Amino acid sequence: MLYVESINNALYNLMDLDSDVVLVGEDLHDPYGGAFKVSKGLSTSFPNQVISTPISEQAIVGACVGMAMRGMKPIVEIMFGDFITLCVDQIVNHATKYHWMYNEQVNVPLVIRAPMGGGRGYGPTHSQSLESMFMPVSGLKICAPSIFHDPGSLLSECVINENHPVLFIENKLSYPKKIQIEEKLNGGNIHRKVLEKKNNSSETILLSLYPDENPEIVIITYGGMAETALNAALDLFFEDEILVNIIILSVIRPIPIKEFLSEIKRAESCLILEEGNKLGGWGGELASQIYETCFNSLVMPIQRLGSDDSPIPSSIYLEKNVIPSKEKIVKTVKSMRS
Amino acid sequence: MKNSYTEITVSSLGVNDENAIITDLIKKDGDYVQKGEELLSVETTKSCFEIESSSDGYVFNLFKINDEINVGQTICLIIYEKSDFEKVTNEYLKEIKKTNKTNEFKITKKARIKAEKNKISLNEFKENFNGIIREKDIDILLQKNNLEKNYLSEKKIRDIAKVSVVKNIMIYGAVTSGASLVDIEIINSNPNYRVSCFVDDDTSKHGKLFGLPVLSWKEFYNKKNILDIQDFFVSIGNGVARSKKVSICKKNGMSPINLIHPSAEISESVTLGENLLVKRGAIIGPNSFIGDGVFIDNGAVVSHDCKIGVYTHVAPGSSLGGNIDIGDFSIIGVGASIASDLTLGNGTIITTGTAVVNNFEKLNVVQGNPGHRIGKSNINLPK
Repeated sequence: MLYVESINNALYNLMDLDSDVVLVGEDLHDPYGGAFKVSKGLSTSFPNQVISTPISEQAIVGACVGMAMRGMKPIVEIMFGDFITLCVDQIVNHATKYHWMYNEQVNVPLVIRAPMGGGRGYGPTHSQSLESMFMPVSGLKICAPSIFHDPGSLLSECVINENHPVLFIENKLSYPKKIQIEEKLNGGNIHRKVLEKKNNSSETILLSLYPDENPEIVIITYGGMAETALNAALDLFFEDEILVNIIILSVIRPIPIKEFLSEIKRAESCLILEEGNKLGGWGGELASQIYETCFNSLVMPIQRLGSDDSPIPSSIYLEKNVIPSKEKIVKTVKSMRS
Repeated sequence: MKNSYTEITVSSLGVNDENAIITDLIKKDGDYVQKGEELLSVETTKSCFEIESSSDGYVFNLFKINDEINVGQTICLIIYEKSDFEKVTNEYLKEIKKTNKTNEFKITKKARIKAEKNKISLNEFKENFNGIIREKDIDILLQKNNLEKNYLSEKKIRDIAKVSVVKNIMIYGAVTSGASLVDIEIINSNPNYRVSCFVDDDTSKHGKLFGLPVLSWKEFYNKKNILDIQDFFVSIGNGVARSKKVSICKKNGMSPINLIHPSAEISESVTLGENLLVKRGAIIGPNSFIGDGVFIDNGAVVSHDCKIGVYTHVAPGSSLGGNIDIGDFSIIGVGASIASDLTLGNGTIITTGTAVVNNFEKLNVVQGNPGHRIGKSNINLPK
């Protein structure tokens, strides 16, 4: 099943089960079916539950916060994640605050879906990964499934079980890809393991070539970078026999660090990989948490890899130099060892 | 070959699609098609469209209806000449098969270099974790091969090479203790040998021992050909008795084998007799001569240039210096030490722990440190 199909099916089932579930966003109606075709066919099946809106992200989120407070289960689609900046006030000062401000008498079960990430040459304002901007926002959960998760089931869980706002990040490049949730991937070479859950709505994946052996480096990443990390790990193994495990998070805020702490301790060190800007990024927070909890088990310092401190170029070739690539990961891991 | 056909591939399908499904094959295999004509239709998540031929020729489809194809994949061939059709398709399919086959195992760069250096064929890997070969796997295989190689050179010493059929072995002398087990263990460690039965003159021992039949000599002699036993090993502790049994068996057309444990280390320049028993961890140095029927026990050390007479027993842990001449039918006790360049006569008994520093004539019992004669030995030397 494709990543986009998984989300589309989940939305269909959610709307089918509960008429309070509504999908709100721009250009969602058939035949267009959304910019990335996630909502394709939904407006035909559920004409009352799919609302195509004018171009005003603040209004969309604002209206949905109201719906959520009154007991509905709204799902917002922000056409391009970059435009989430237009609704930051609604998220930061309204959706995430009401539960406290109204003495826990009000819940805001709102899910905001936002496609992020570059790689398609869409330019500086349609290619960013801005999720780390929301790291300090209390009361917000950020979910960012990769192709090694089932994004549909994670979305369903957020819609059904969460009482507070969720930012659901989808990577643009993941949409047309097949989700890989079998126990053995890549023709049996890669072992995929779901790490023991400490929190129901998070699913942390461990990918490894030799599950019983301790790796030299463990790469911690999420979302669209997961596949790049896997390709780099395969390269490192087949070229230099450097054993690298990959931890892929589905929830990046709050960081479910307890789920993968033991996996970090097995390795000599870790590389934190994200597509967003490295400067002030999510990886800084994670690295700090790792240092605070298991400094003694690290043989060498943690390294981080993220986008360069630059707007993302429109030229697809220049863009490749800004966003972390397989080559950059391989180079970083090798430099860690020397 | 390459000049006689064109490959039709699927180029980019759309923003969200990396694969598509074939819904119809408009042209069948062998149909003639002109440039620009439609070949087949495919369906993506968004749309259906037809793929056109880029040249004139005869069509050969590589997929069936409902097969899934990826961007960049070759989906059919256009072969220019009808006469080439069969040849091209056959070779193309063969090529695909070949590439699929070589991809069966993935191999790391380090492992590939090591395998090439040591001339290891990847066919030697039958089962492998993950289907990946890495340096470690090559190392393990090399170790295994080395063991086999060492084992072969040992066989050469024993002069029993070229044996490919499993030989059935008779053991003369059935002992209920571990001593017989040692023999069985050594024989079974050699894939070319198999213990078939025991022979013992003591009638009380007849029956079964360690699951194997114990026969009298007469019984065995009658069944010898039925059991297909041509080789024997006499495992009797007494040297004189051992020598008699060996000669009886040899007279009856059988040939003795040597039992040498794989862990024993024997220099290549050693001359070995027959009906030898060399147990675990024994060491025999260069240029030594080991007579027929000698037993060299666990951990005994025979240095260089020694001559050990026939049917002598060198007990566990005894140490022999260089250039020692030990007579026939002698016994070197447990842990005895013999200094270099000495000569001991036939039938000498060196008792446990003795340190021998002088020459001795035949039939002496030697004890103490330094070793001195304490009596005459009772070994009945054959005439």
